[in-house]
Amino acid sequence: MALGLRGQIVQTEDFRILVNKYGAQVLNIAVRILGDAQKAQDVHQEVFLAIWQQWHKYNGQTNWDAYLYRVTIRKAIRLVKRLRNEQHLEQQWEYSFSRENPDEPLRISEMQQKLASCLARLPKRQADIFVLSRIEGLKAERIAQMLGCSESTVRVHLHRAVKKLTRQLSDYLPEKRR
Amino acid sequence: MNTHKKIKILLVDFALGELPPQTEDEVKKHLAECHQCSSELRQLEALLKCTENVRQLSADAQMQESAKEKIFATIDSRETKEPIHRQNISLEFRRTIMKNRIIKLAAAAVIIIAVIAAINQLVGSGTSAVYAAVVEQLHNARTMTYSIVTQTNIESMPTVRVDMAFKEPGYMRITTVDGYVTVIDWAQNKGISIWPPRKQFIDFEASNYQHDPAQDPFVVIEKLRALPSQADVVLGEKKIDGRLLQGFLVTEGRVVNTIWVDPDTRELARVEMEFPDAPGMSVIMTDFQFNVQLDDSLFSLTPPEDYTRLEVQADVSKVTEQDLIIYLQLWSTWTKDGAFPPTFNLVELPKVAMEMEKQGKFGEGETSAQQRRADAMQTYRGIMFVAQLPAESNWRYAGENVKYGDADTPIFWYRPKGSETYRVIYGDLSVKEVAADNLPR
Repeated sequence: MALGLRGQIVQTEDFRILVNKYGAQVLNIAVRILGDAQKAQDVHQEVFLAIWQQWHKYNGQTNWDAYLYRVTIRKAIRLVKRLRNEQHLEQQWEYSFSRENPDEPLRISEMQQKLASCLARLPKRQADIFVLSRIEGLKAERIAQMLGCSESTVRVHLHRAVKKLTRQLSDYLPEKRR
Repeated sequence: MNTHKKIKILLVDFALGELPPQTEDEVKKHLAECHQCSSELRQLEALLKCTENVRQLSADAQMQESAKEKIFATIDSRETKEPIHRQNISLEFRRTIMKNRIIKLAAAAVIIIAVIAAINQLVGSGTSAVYAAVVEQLHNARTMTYSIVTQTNIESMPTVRVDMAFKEPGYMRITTVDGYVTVIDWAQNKGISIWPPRKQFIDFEASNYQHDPAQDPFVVIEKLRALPSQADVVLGEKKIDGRLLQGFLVTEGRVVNTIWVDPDTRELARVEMEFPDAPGMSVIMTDFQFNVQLDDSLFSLTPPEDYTRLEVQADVSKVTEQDLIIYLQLWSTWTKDGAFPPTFNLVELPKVAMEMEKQGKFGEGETSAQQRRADAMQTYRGIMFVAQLPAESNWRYAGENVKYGDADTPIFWYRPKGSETYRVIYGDLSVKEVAADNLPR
């Protein structure tokens, strides 16, 4: 996946190629985690501007695919934490979940926000693996390569993440809401 | 373990479809009989179903295009400078004539205290994703020594080198090439700075410091031990100082770290830090040694015989923006031309202060011991305000060559926690709320 972009003269053009090639991937990850177009664009902007500022440091060995997955997940979750600290999202979620009919299924966007908040509480490795596996649909083998760990480590972290998230979200999942 | 407990453990893997057929049948059989496990499984499946739905979401073409355009527009307009609407807020300050060498010595000494916090801040963030073997090395460290070299692209600011030593449970020793030594006992919140050329020392004590394990500035080894094992980017190999090293890039907040590890010995060899907010400035850490024998006497708070004392007591319980403003004003009264500090790089500030003194840039004058203590305290508090700002505040100092009273020039800005806007301090020390888009470039 390496682009091999080091020529000084074509730096800007190379960077544009990178954005064109991976921009959608970064945006989609952010949309899926955050469930908010504007915030996803903020993360997209943050990810690529951080790369641009250090463009001279990257070389042909950079695995952009893996790097952008990791960085985007991290920045999106960091944004959730920041928003949560500012209580914006919590208030929004409180409102979202105060519904007249508790049997009405939650909309994706509502569940997404709650899920994001819970993801931000997970240990980083667990959150990364959960997003890569369940939200991005990547196989354990690829996640293991991406994170530099074994497949069994991926499975252990995924197992723990699923368990914790189910516990944290239990009030909003079907069985408890009946 | 009874069947129920055994099956309960397997439920996640069952929901994920990762059990072998035989075990899966066993789980199904139990589920038909156990309401509790069935209920738990339904929740697991609901969570997984939810994530499948989320996976189907994607940004539409218009959103993708808009995001790209925003990026390209930003990189194309890096050089543009947007005007800032300014509103002067008058602040009352006394301009005290109180300049002599002793004051500057005291001030420089308390700066050293803050330097330690800054160094730690740099170290803490700079090594926060070293790769696995190095993390293990750090994990087992009981003592650690290394050197820090700070460089800027500013000709008047020479390269600064300091040697650092840490020892559990919380001792730190900083030695400059000029022979100045500062020792901190973090457990007691006490320290000493020793100034051999003048045979003087300063005891200092930071009272009321709020201990926060995540923020404690001196517990470097503990911070390093908490590092994750994954770097952002593998940079490949490079020969540095005759050694072939493997590089890892880690971006943390507003600091970009390149961590170089010897692939043969798997030892941490070098950490380079760059600051996008301060182009040209870099901090390089080298000569790492772990678990070397460090005698307790190196961390003694007892001054050498025949040295005279200057005491400083600092209260850092509630440092505020106002402390920073007063510090900036104070510094401008020390300089002959009323200029603000040339840098807020806390690692090099003491050195810069010494250089300025050599060049005769500070004025002369007399002041009382009480005033000197108050000024030293204020200096400390002002610097601590900056040292305690989180990376997310995006603080930046631009007061070099700006003189007190210049109402048109922003000299410092930062984003307070939870704020959408930035606080910008101008050369007349007025403060204004400014939107991120209108910040100085």
